[in-house]
Amino acid sequence: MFVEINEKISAQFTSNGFAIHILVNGIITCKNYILGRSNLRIQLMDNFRISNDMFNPE
Amino acid sequence: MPNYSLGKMGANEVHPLTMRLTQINETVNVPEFEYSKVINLFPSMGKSTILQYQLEGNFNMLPLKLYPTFVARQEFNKLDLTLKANCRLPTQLRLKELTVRFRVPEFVTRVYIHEKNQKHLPATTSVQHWQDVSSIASIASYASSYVESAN
Repeated sequence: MFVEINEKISAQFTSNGFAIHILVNGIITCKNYILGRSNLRIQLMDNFRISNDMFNPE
Repeated sequence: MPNYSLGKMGANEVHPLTMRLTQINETVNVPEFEYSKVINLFPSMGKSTILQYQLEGNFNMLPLKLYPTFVARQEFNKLDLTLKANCRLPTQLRLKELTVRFRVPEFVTRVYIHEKNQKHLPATTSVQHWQDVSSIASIASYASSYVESAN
């Protein structure tokens, strides 16, 4: 089983190199070649919160 | 996901970075993920998407640090820009592609590009050429440059 994380980062910098705005578009994909039902658990850092518009539409 | 650390709002006010989910695998327990930050799933055979997400704001840490230097050479009516990139990723990771765009003042008529690290050239060789601004559609697109990871 292979897990791949790809991120496209767009950032705007000041003339002295400081980032003033950053946008990250990320995708985590899995390639699974294991026969049968397999469980995958991925622990992410916990210093962020999740805004889930898909499941909790306002 | 790399550690981007926290974004800072004001002098001492710190708010947690917000991840906006745009797609998530149907077998992921979403409430558990929101609470514990653990993605727990049963992937199907073959290739599948686990999670698609977006982060926006200002973070303390990026995988790449840019060091631009501007030097005005008034005797030649020139402005030199040197751009150095420092990759902060661990050695087993790499940047797949880097595109840098920058603007120049409107009265600039010519841009000289001094290129280094070209794959088809020996490491010690560099190329310098210029082009009239009026002959290119977009100075920003012309100024795009692909830089290899510093690793």
